[in-house]
Amino acid sequence: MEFCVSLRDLSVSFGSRQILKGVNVDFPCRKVTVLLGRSGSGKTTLLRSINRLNESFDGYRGYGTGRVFLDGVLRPISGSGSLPLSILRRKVGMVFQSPNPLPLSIGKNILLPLALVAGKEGEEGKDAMKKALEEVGLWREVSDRLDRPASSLSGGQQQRLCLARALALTPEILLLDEPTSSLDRAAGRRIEELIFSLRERYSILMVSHSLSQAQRLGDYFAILTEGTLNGLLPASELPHGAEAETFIANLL
Amino acid sequence: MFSSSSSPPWLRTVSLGVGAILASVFAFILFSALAALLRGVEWEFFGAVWSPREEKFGLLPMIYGSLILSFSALALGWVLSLGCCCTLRGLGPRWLAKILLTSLRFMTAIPTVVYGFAAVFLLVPVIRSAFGGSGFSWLAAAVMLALQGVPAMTLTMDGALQSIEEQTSLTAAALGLTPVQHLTWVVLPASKKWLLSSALLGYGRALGDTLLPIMLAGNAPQFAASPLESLRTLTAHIGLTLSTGAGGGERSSLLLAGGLLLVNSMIVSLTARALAGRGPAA
Amino acid sequence: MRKREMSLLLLSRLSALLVLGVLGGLLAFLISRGGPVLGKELFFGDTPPLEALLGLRPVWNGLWPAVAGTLFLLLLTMAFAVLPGIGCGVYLSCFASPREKYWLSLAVDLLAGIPSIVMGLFGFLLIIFLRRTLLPRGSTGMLLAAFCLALLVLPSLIVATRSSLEALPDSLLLAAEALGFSRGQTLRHVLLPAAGQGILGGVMLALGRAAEDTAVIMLTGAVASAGLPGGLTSKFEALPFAIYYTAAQYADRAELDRGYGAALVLLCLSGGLLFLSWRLQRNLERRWKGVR
Repeated sequence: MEFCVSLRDLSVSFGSRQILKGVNVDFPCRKVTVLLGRSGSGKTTLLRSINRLNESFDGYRGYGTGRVFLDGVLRPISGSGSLPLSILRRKVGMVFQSPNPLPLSIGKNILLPLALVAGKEGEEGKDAMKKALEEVGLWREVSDRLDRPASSLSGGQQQRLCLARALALTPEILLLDEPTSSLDRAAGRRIEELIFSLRERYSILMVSHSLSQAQRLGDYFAILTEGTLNGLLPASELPHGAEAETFIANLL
Repeated sequence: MFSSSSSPPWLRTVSLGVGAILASVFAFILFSALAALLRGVEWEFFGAVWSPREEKFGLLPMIYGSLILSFSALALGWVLSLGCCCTLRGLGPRWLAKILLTSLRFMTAIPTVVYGFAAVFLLVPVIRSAFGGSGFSWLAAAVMLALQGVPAMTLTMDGALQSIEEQTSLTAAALGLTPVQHLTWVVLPASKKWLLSSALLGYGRALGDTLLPIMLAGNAPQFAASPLESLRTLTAHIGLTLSTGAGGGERSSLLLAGGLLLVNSMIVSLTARALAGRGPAA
Repeated sequence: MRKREMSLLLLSRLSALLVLGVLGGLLAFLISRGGPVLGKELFFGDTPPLEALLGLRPVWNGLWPAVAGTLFLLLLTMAFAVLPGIGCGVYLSCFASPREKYWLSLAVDLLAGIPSIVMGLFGFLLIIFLRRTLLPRGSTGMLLAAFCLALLVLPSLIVATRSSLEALPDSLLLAAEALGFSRGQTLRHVLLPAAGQGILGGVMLALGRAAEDTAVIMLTGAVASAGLPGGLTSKFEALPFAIYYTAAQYADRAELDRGYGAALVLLCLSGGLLFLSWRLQRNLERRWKGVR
């Protein structure tokens, strides 16, 4: 199996609190892998160790090795031989739990990162923006008000804008941290459909709090218990229906 | 927290009394200014010549002086504040930011009269030897007013920028923006409103200051055309003329000057309130 | 796109260095000229200090009358301002109806923006008005100056009190109410002690403003030589006015040196007050951060 991210003995702590305690896992390419686990088990920290976002927090210390497969090359996430930070983060896009548009206009939210991080300005940038907005089905809704503040959009639209913002930077890996948990049912469904349509082209790592959502979307499952994780479960090995719940509950 | 009916009665009396006193202060000054304006039609308060001996009491040179001095000091001070604020918010090394923050906090404690005193013996001789003249000039006053305004403006900007930065830093990092890019392209554009209201604060303070203009600007009631010329502000005019114990047209012109300053400060305060988005209670 | 980043970087470094440089130069200048003068003679001249302190003999060539004038003025100002300031702050944060809150805070905001010379002018007009009506023999002096200064510092007192009280966690109020305290009891025994340091910090801040203000007192009774404060209605000396006066009218080297000394003393006084206020307000913040 081809993999996009490979973690070995990864441990992360903040101050005196250890969050991840020796994680070993290979995440497959161009599949949706769903991370499950109780709150506080380290799901978000695991995601953020892939785009080095943990380093933005005080007291961070990390051990172990992590490698990513980007542009056809396997490289360490950090340390010698790794990609520059801004390129890593462009190639590994992230969508957060609650929509987090920047306090700028709708258009700027996508154009600005395109210009600063990907070097696409002017017409090139606008084309990339249009493509990304079309990909998340937002173009028709916002094309006539790109200069309005992003905060004027509804929660679901904002979250799709954030997804488009990540996609515009042409990532290979997408990190989705409970992307539907702050949305209402209909908006959440919309995002789920989008994720489903992206599965062929991107390697997706997704934290989910809902078992049924995990079963609808996941090709693989990874179960975190108190900061440890060993290996993946293919969806085919998961029992269906009510059995699945007790099965997973036992694992947790 | 509680309702007004549960307040101890004396507390309510005191507070409403304070409100009443404040209102009467405003009314008193505005009324006096208006009365002076009406009484002194023949004195041409809005004329261009101030010459008590010829019975000419034009305030225009002072209005002009106040405006150009405060705007020039504001322009200089605001740009400096923006730069300082960027240093505080991560464009400079951390040690520099720390020193700067401590210094700015300390600067808020420096009495205006001390700034003025130091400038009379430090800055004015420098201007005199570099450009000639007496050194007491628009330039000297503007430089010191700008410096004096920097701490308050920087700290106001910094507060706003910090909260916007905290809200957006993780998002910007996840997109691959460097801290410098984050500050330049996200935080600053998003804090336009606050940058504007800090400028308003700086303008209000610069226009209302008395000691620096009176000590440094030379106080000639004229239309200064170059920064090296002397000028007189409305505030300095009040201080200078009142202490000579003048009467008649001079006295009336002072009342009008006070009224103008008050109206200006009210406009500034009201605009600042509107900017901060505090509307009337529902 | 890099251009804007580079120019901002340049501006930030330049302004930081400029502000620090000018501040450093200014302080070095004041200390180098004023430092050597500091001492007994600066305050008391050639009068024996004890006799000067007790007011037995006048001080002609020292700062003592100005220092005493400023301290007396501060005392009087606070006597006018503290009760209404804190009372109004408490009322605004705890009891005011939305309408009262709107109008009172509007008045406070407007007052906070008044230039101090206008407040001085108000004092001057007030005494003229009083002379024509109630007090034919009234004149500018300590009492009038303190009243105007009190008006000037009221906003900072009100705002400090209000924000100290509003920074307290709601749980504190709920806990007190749950114990069956009445409103007045909650305020007196729970909220005010909890916010006390912040309010005290506000008082220090107000003191600092009153101590440094020159424009108000120069229109309401400060003079260059009056000796020790003689009474509530007499003219008085004050540190900031002495500095202002020296800058314009000094006659000899000794007077100028006294000016430097006075500037340094006033700087220490208002710096000390600000530092105290900052420490107190930070303590308050720390104390309630864990609870919130």
